[in-house]
Amino acid sequence: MKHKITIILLFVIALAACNSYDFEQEQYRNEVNLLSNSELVYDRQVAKLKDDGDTIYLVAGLSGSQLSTKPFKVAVIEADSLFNAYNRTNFDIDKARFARWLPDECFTFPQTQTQIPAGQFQVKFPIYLHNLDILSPDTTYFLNYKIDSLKTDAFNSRKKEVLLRIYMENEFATTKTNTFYNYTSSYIITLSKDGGVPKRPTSSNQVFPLGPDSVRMLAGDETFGDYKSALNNINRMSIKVTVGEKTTKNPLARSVTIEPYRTIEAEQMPPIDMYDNTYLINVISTPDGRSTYYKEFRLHYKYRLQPTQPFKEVKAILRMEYNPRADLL
Amino acid sequence: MKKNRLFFGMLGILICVIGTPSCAPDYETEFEVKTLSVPDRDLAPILFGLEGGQKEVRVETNVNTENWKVTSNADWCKVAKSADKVVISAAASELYVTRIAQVTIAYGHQSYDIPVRQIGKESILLVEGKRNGVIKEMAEMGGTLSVNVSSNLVIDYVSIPDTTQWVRFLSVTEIPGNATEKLLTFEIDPSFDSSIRYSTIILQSSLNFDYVTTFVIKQKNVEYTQVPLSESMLSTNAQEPNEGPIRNLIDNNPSTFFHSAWSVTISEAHYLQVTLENPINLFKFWYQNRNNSNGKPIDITIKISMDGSNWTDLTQITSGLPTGASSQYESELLRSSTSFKYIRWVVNKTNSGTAPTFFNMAEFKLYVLKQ
Repeated sequence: MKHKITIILLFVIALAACNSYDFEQEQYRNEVNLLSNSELVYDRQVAKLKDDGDTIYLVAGLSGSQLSTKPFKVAVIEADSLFNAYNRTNFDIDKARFARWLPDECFTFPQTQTQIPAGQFQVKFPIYLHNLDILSPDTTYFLNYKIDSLKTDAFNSRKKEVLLRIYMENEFATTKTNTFYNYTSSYIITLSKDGGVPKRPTSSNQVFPLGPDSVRMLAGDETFGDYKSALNNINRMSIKVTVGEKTTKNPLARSVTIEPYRTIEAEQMPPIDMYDNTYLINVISTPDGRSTYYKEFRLHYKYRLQPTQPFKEVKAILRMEYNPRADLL
Repeated sequence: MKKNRLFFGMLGILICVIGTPSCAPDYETEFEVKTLSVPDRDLAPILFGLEGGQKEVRVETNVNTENWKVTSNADWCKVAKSADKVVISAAASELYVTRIAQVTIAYGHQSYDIPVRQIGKESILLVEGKRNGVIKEMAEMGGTLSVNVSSNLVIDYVSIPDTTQWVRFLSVTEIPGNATEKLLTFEIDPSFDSSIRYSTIILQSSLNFDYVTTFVIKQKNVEYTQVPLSESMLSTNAQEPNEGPIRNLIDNNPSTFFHSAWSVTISEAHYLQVTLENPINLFKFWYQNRNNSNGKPIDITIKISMDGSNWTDLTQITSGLPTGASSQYESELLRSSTSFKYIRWVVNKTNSGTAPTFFNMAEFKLYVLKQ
């Protein structure tokens, strides 16, 4: 009996002793770091092409398992080492393919010094973007910043610099991922006596954002060719499509204007049948109630690459499936 | 014992009776479900006539009027709500197209869409009373062509096919005193084709692009007449002395042939020359190859002259010249802005060599426009 009571007492004491370890104590040190991926690039933000610009953020975080009880000063300054390393590593001496700095007229970085308040784990430096429509969708743009070691409290030296990748998007396309619209119910007719049978393209056409309401795409069924000639082909063969106001006939459709992008000779033709030069969201529903949403360009234009060539008339429906709910996430 | 059982049993019943109501919540909660619905028959598409109108749509709901919404996605389609209905209205339409809209009645996730259409004014765009099938004839010499069109639309799109650039649109003018009659004027180039040519003209209006009217311009072909050639009109700088006299070109016998020099050396490109009695400024030519495999011209320069001394290059033909035995060639119409009496075919290359090299030919003809 005594023995049993002793065992029980010892068990109770042991249980009480387990409560003495403090799991709430700090497990790691508090250090400031600039948010980035494993290659020190922050490429998760996409700026909207809007007339009044958009805002992206340079994010400074604070490490540690507990929130700090005191504020941490953070200051950033411009840098270039990551930018130079990116170009050197990816393109060697091929300067034509180098990434570019985001032009000064395209951004404002008003506040380079702030602090992470006590009890918070990050702070965001706003970068106001504007005039993004002067940027080329074929070029990679970066901003490069690093922690100002003189004005920042303890920081992680391995996360003190970041390369901000600038992506842009509008309602129709984005530069973050390849945006493809597929030809459907389309015709390409060579306007000459020996033009042959009209072509029925079923390929896809890559679309690039240019401005808040405009995109660029290759005319007809032209292709980029190999990567060395792609930029030249883009300049030679592309058209610019600008989406305007909703039509009086159908408020779900918006009128579009087609014009040459660079050297191509392209003329918009009058609407005919369903090729009525509009952009709309086409909802195709099945009898059981499921709906598929498409962004559609319906175009009628003609183009030629050389003055000595006959025109090619294009009646095209370019369609891209999308999920309207994904935009709300 | 029995008394104890009875006592405890009644005590237990008493505890249950007291305890059960005490478990009930001590607050009152109303679980009224807010609903909004539109009867199926009121979801039918609404069609307004040209003059507009209004339609009432019943709404069955226990939601306060200010909490549920009704919207229209088109400015011309007005909506007004009251406690149990929505009034959808449209003014008279000034358009020439049918316009569509969508009215949405919603409360939270409960949403109903009603399609609305309003027909537009009737479009009229007729060529001689028809939308299609009218053919307007034009003489081969070309000129201006006027087409009467009846239309209440603005004709701002006149499409001429790219393959018929011999037609050009000049203007559309109103006919005074008649609001719906218009005159379309076209300019037609002279035709030098030996077959009739056609152009389908498409008329459209920005007021209603779907209303398309077409008509056809048919232009008569020209006729050519053969120039009577004699031996004295033909000459060459390189007659082969052993065979192929030049008169064989005009003997209507394809088994005979002209042959330029192969047994003697001529240091310049060999040519065939025609001297006309009267000056011309356009012509076409035809020839048939000798029935053999060599000496067939594949590159020639055609020169013209008024005096036989001063020459001008008219054209150079480097493709399309046949090399097959006895095959024939007919040229396009060749024109010059200045008149000429002398024509020279200089052979730069044959399928046997480069000038100076021999060539041969079975028959040759020259044509001018029939007056």
